[in-house]
Amino acid sequence: MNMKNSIVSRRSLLVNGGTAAAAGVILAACGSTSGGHGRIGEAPVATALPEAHVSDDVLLRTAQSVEELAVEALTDPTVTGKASAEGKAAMALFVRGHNANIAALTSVVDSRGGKSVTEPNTKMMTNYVTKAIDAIKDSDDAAGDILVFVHALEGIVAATYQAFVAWTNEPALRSAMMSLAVGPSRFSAATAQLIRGGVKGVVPAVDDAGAELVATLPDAFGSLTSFPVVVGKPNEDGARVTILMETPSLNSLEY
Amino acid sequence: MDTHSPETQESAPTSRRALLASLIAAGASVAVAGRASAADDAAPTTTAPPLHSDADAATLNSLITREAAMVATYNAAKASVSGDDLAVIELIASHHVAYVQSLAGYLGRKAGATTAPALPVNAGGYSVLAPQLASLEAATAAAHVAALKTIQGLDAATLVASIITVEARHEAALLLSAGGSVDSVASGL
Repeated sequence: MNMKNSIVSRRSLLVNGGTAAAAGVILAACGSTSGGHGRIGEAPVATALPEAHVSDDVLLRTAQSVEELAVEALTDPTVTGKASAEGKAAMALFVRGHNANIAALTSVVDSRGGKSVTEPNTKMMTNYVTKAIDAIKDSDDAAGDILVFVHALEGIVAATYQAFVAWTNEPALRSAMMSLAVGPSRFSAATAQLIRGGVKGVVPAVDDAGAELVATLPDAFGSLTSFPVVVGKPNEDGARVTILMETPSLNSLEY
Repeated sequence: MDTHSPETQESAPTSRRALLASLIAAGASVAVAGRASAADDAAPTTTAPPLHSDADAATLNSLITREAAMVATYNAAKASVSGDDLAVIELIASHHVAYVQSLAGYLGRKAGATTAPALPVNAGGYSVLAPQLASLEAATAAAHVAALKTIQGLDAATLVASIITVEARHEAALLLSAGGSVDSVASGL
């Protein structure tokens, strides 16, 4: 290798560098001003999201999706396959109740000229049901975990109707929605009795370690806070999967 | 016999089917009217419901009377039970006291009487009392559901809704803790 050829002299570097810089200036001057990177004083035009109203019809459709969610969860092969005999029998009754609610909601939606929702609520399915069922698959106590999950699930369905009362315009519709909340409320209480039965299970209590036990009547008024579900196999630190189930919000309504 | 017409078991349980039937009829007329006026009224014109309405006072007072009767009924039942059974009766009684207080508190000076005679219940132990109390809970919840049809104020409606879900739980708790089956809880829905 020729040493002389490999040396880049300071003069040639300056000449070549200057040529490149000049070419860059010319190319930049010829470029378009549209697009490219944002600059101060040149913000891209924002595209507005489509306007969506939380109407009574939206709430009815969302209620349909939540009822569909309950049916989907309660008939999931993992849930039905790993449930205890009494749990499975109870869930079959609950599914019947949810299907009755779906039929009632469909009649109302159809009569109002709306389009019925026949699929489970997507966000709730992804965030709650799928996660819970995945955790239950690996659980050392799948049958017990299923009851914990169903207890919260039924509570959420009932709480959904309760929450929707505050958003619903028509008083008659509020009444109809709450008539549909009665079933899931009973189902949640019945599941609590399957977890901790008898008169002792009705009253709130704590275990020896001070942890709150499942109670059939935990509160005097219907709660709209999140329903915690702790299920699955403990990890090396002893922690289990915790899912906080909540009633539908603006990003999970069926517009 | 209970003489409060909105609350008796015979008249109070407004069935889901009846409620929805009336709703469908109303919905259909709304849909027809909506289609008729769609040409000149494309934008939604709903008016936000009021948070409070003085027109709700009579309905809410009837619910207070019913809840007060439930308090008296549970207080009378306490004498027939003991131990864990008594704990359940006392817990549910305390819930009904809370309902009387919250409804009366909402109405303020417009609140009527907050006491009422006990509802008729056949005497007996917990296994005899609980199914009867469960029936009264179902009727009370149904009275609240029916009341929602006329309640205009959102604050009152949300309060009543939060009572309905728990009274449905009362019914299931009483039935199952007295030895009833899940079928009995699911029936009638």
